[in-house]
Parts: sequence; structure tokens; C-alpha cells
Amino acid sequence: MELDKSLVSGSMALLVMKLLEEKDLYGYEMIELMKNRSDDTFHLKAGSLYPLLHGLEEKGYVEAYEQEAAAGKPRRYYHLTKRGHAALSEKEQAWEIYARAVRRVLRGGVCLGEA
Amino acid sequence: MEKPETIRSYLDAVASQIRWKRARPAVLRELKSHLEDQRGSFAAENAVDAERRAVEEMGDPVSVGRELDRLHRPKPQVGPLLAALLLALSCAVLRIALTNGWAAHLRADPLRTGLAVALGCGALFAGYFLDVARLAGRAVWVCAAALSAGAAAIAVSPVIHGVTYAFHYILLFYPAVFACWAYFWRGRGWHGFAFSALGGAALCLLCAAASQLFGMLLVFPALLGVLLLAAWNDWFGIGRRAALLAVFGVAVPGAAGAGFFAVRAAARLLPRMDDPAGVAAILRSVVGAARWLGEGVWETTGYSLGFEQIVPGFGDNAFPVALLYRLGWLPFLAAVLGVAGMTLWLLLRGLRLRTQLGRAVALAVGITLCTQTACSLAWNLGFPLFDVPFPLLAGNTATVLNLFLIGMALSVFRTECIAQDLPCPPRQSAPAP
Repeated sequence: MELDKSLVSGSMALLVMKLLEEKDLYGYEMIELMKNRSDDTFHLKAGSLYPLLHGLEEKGYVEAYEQEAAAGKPRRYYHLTKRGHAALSEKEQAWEIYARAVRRVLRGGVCLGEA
Repeated sequence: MEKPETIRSYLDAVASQIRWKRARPAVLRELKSHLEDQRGSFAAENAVDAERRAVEEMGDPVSVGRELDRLHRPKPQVGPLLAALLLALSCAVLRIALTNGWAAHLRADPLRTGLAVALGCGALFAGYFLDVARLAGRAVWVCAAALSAGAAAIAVSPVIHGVTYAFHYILLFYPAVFACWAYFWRGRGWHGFAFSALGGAALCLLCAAASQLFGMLLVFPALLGVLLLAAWNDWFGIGRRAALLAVFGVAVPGAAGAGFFAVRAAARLLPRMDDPAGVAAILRSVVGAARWLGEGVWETTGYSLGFEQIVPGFGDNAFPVALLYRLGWLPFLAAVLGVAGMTLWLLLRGLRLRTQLGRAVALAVGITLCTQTACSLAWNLGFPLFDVPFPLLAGNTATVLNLFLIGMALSVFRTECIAQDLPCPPRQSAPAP
């Protein structure tokens, strides 16, 4: 099933930052990792990823550095900063609230007995 | 617009949307690397049109370019530029106004002072539009030029009051030159560290050759500061701990040499402090005669001659004490705090920069301005060890050079969004190969 792009775009920063929480990655790796982790659901275009990463860098959430990758080519790795970690946990909380609310609405509203 | 089918045409299409030319190479390098990876991946799947498919995967080049253009724009530093210009201009006006009534040869020449402000304005903008990253890429030439200029100044420049005149100005650039030099040797291991330290030693030796105690006081701590920054961030790839130990290893003999030189010079300078008819005594009496607001009470100094006949160099390096005596402590403090505040702001803002080069250059410029400010303030308040101009407040040539340095620091802030460091040593969190 083709996924509505607008559903993905709003949460892309959250997903990218979540990937960077584990280890430093370069752009191409992020796209591949995202594809694998989402069972081929998220096909992130590189043309959207780089502006997103540069925007996060501008905000101080990630920082970039160049280093040679396994193939010996220099790559621009992204690293989640302390500020980025804080922003990520905020975004995760906000996403949880949003997702719970969407699920509730889809199920027909809040039940009085629901925890 | 025709759809690009090759990596080259895709990158050209993206580049055409990014208006700031200086931002293009860094952005395109990353996109090119991605496209090559993608092409390699398709080729590994035996795809015949691997390059075209890789380009397709990237998305529309125009929208990508537009988005990157929005993110990569210079950050104009209008406020700090105006503040620096306003400070220089108001200091020049003060210099002309306060020395106006004095004898012709003692007055601040309005023409020369005006010319210095005009040239300083040009120097500020020249520094502001300077590509510091390019300068660091040619650090060998920059350092060679700085050393040659210093050596030539020592050889041919006149010596006034024991100071090599032209060298006195050239050394103001040495900390910034060293920042570029040390940065150039990044990632080159112990070799890099050794060459970096050797460059610093050469700059310090020139100061010693010129008998410039002020030069040593300015250059040595600035060099040490930049080297410590380099070691802390592991510029050379030898590990933070080893680099810090190496810096201390270099700094101890360096400090011992500088200390030996300083003790000899101080033995010559310190007796002037206790001389009742010396500069120190005169300056302290003037400071004692100053009021909070308005002209000081000259009678309390006990001198029969007037202020302008007594205070040495009042129109130039001693202008801050002239300002203190003529207008009082409050205007004096306002002028001093204005310059000191700007210097401190440059230093603190610079240390928060993302790029290592930006931090090093801002640190070098900050230390240069701070040292001049501190030495000049001490001289004017009656501790006359180093007769140097107060940044922007005194001296015509010094004003031009200091405005250039301020412009250089602002240039680093302006280009922060596109600035990228050269390949640096591995981090702990980097992926395993």
C-alpha cells in the first residue's frame, strides 16, 4: 500500500534523530537503515533528507564531521548533540500523545473506563 | 526544465538554485558522494542505467536546491559591524574634540584621524568579506608571509623608544595567522603537532628578536590558547590526553624562555614605576585628580605645568587618561566598557561556533584585543609597562588593524552556516569500519 507522503514528512525529523541516537551515520546509510527498519515503508528521498539534516544542524540538534567510511571515501557523518537528545525526547513524547489520540479517535472516542 | 540524467547535470541544477556561491562546494560535495553511493548500489544490482536511476532517486533538483538555498545564506552581522564603526567614529571624534585647544603639534590631526577611520571602515569590511577557510587552506604561504614581514620589519623599520615600529603592528596578526597554521596541520598526527608548534616557536622567536616584551605577552598566550583548543578537540588525531600533555611539554620550556626574556625586560622597566618624576607617578597623579564627571582638579597633582605639557603621548596612547582627566570617570568607563564589551562578546560568541577554525580564529582575535585592552588600561592607570594603543580609542594605524581583525572575526560568524571542518580524527561514537 502506498503511504500518504504528508503522514511521513511531519515525523521525518523525529525518525532521523532516532536513528542518530544509536550511532553517527551519513546520509546514504540513514536512507538504507530507515528502509530496512520500516520494512520498506519509508522510502526517504535524499533530496528531502539533506535539507532536513542541514536544518537540524542549523538548530544545533546535530553536528556534522567528515571522516573516511569503510570504503575509504570521506563521508559527512552526523552526530546527535546533547540539545538534539533533549529535542528528541520531547518529540517522542509529543508523538506518543498524538498517536494515542489518533488511535482513540479511530476507535470511536475515549471510553469512560479506559486507563 | 529538462530532467537531469547524469550526476553532473543534477548537481549543476541544484547549484543553480543556491545563490551564495561560497556555500555551493560544501553542499554539492555531500550530494555527489550520496549519488555515487546510490549509483554503485544500482550497478551492483546489474542495473544498466544506474546513474540515471540514482539521479531519479534524489528527487527534483530545483526544489532541493531551493530548500538548500534557504538554509545556506550568509548571516549578516549588521549590529556588530555598526557597533564597531560607531565605536571607532565616536572615539575619533572624542580624540579630535578633547585635544582641540592644545598646541598644534599635540593635537589629534582631524585629517589623519578621519583618514584612519575611513581606512578602518574599509579594513573592517575587507576582514568581513575575507574567506578565512581559504586562508587556512593556504596557511603555509600565510605563515611564510607573516614571518617574512616580521623579519623585514625588524631589519628595516626604525626603533622608537626601544620598540621596532612596524613590527609592533605586524605582530597583531600573529595569533590569527597561528590559528590558520595550526588548523592546517589537523589530522596529520605527531608530524602535524610538531610543525604546528614549530610555527608558533618561530613567531615567538621573532618577537624576542625584536625585543618585544608586549609581543611575547600577546603572542605566547594566544598561541598557547589556540594549541590548547586544538589539543582539547584532538585536531592532530593523537588523542586528547597525549595532545594536552604535548602542549604542556611545549609550553613549559616556552614559558621558561618567555619568562627569562620578561625578567630581563622587567628589570629595565620596573624602576620607572618608583621614579617620583617618572611616567608612572605622573599618570597616577592625573588619575587621582580625575572626578566622576567633568574635568579633573589639576591643582591636586602639584604640577606647575598644564596637563598637556606633563602627560606623555596624551594625544595618542595616553588618550584614555586624557579622556579620564578631561571628562571624568563615567565617560572613561563608558568608552572602556564599550570596547571591552565588544571584545568579550567576540570571544564568547566565537567559542560557541560550530567549526574548529571559526573558534580558533575568534579566540586568536579575542586574545589580541583583550591583551591590548588590558596593557593599555594598565599603562593609562599608572602602571606603564607596555605603551600600546587602546583598541579603537587610540592610535590611527592600530585602529585600522584592529578594525580589520574585528571584521575577520565577524566574517567567521557570517559564514557559520556553511563552514565545514576538514576531515578530522575518529570519534568514539563513530561507526565501526
